[in-house]
Amino acid sequence: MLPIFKITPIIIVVSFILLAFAKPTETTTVKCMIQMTNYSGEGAYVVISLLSPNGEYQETLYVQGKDEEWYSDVTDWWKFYGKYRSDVDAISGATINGGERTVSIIKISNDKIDAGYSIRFETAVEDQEYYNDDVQFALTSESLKSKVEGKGFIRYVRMMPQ
Amino acid sequence: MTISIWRYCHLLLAVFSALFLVVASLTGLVLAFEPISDSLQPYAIDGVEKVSVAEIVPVLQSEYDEVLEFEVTASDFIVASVITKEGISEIIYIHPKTAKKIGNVEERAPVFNWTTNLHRSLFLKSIGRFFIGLASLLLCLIAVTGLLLLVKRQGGVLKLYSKVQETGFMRRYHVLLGRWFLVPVIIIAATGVYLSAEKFSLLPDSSFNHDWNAIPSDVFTKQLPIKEFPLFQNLTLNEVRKFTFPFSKDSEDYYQLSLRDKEVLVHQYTGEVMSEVPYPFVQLASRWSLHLHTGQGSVIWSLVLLVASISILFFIYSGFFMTFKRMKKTKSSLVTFDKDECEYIILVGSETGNTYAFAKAFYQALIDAGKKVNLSSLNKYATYQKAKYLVVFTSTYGDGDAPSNARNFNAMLTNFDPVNEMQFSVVGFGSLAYPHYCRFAIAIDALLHRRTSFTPVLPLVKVDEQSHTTFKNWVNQWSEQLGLSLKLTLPESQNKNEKKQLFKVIERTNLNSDYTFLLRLRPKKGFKFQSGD
Repeated sequence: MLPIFKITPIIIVVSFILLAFAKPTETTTVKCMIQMTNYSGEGAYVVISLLSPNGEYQETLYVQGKDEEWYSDVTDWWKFYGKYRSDVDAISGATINGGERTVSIIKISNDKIDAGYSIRFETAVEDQEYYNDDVQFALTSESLKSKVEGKGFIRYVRMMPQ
Repeated sequence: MTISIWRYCHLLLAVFSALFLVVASLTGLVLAFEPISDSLQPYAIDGVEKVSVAEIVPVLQSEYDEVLEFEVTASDFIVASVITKEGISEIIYIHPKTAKKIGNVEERAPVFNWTTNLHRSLFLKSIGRFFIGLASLLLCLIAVTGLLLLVKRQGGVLKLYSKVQETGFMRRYHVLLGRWFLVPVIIIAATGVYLSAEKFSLLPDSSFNHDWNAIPSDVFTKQLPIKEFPLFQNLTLNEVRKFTFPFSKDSEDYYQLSLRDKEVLVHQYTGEVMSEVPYPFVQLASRWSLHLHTGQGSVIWSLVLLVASISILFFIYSGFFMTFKRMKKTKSSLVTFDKDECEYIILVGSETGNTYAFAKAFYQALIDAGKKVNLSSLNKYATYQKAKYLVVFTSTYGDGDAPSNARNFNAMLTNFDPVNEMQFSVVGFGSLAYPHYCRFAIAIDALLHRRTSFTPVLPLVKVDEQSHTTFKNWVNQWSEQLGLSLKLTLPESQNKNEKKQLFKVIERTNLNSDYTFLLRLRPKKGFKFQSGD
């Protein structure tokens, strides 16, 4: 009995000290430019998401398009976002029209980089197609500085860490 | 015939689109407040037009770690997307001279978001947008047909803005407000149609491309500090809509400036204009349409749109009110006889139903006296086997034209002769306020006089402003001529507009030999009058 009483406070103190030295999760701020193709029609909804190594949605990084009525058109992402509807106010912007380009800031936690995660850009335009992987690439320190071409409404995407 | 087609169109278009237009006008009314409330916010700094781009860009770059872009809104606010020195990315309002943050950009108020959704698409997405677009188109047509009707009523385009003769609150203000709000309503409807056409990609394709791969020329090799770029020195903030900073420090990444009528790419080190592309007309038209339709950036125009929206609601209400009133008056709930059985024929020309009301009362009086009477409109003139007496009641439309149910009478009269000799009497209904008082009735009377088969019972009688007294006098005279005794019950007088003046009797003379006497009157409230009033 007595030894436990003596050890417990020591254990507690040591854990706190260890915790104090533990690194907080750092994030990288990345400037991301999306250049659209010259399609005609409504402004496109574009969602940038973080996917886990087995392809599951982990986090919504940015949403272009503020009218929630249309979020369900971004089908795959909607299955993830629709369940809990986390607050995306701070990471949302306007839709992007054909031929236009938009620059936005996204924050990525450092422990996700070079760890098998990927970044996905999904696009949907009202009464037109939906691309669930318009742009998709593995999240590495190299890809964060690159330009990646798109398959659908996106012509290319450029990333630049700050 | 032509007037009735236009009036029928005007009504038909209105019936189909009424529901949508009511919703669109109510929501439009609410949305008109948005530009007004925006302008009340304290983010517009005076002197925006005096700050040049060359001044603001270096200040922005020194104030913040990174600037993505800035925009000058319709209300002259400057919104910048920045990363602050503390590493926070925000979208904020900034001061044009110091580039310091003066406020956070708030989300659009939910009430305006919700109302815009309802206004644009009735919450029905594409189908809803189609119906609203269609309703806008119908509104255009309604306004145009309304204008045509108005021109006819006033007596020509030149008299469009001359005095309106209509009495009756609904009718009068439908006309008055119609001609004042004609222009704003047509603008609202036309821009509404244009914006809808845009949504459905009905407009010509108008993409335009910058050449982002333009190679710098050999002429511009000197690197300049930003504040010495000639283009930036010559551009003031009010000419800029959006200014985007180069994506990276690469010399191939350019400044992108969206100006009023063109877009320009500028080399970030030499200041050379790498690409200059004017906006295609369709894009400019879109922007103007949006500004005109929503009033963004202009408080005065927003107020005009606000009042125009209210006026549209009034037009819908007054239009239907007038239609129901007319329908009620012409509805026949009377005993009818076959036309070939009747000795007495009453023919009516009535635009608003007022004249018809008198005709019905007269008809009822004849029926009560045991006579067989046929009542119909002048357009329905036919041959009558047993007819001996013809009575015509008619009003005049606008500047001397026939009312819509009397247009064909002239032609029909010349085409067939009556079976028997007819004795006729014409009563005209009108208003001395019009220069051509009872002109159509005069024409009919003259026409009948010229036909040999028709003999007049009485000269033409004109009834001013539906005067019951004049009409009753005519009924008495007519029935006396024909040896009839008629009991007439007239509907209640509609003229509540007439203000009655009170007089005091000062003197009354004794009866003269012809049983008349003189009354001397003094008005209780002094006012000027002349003999003949």
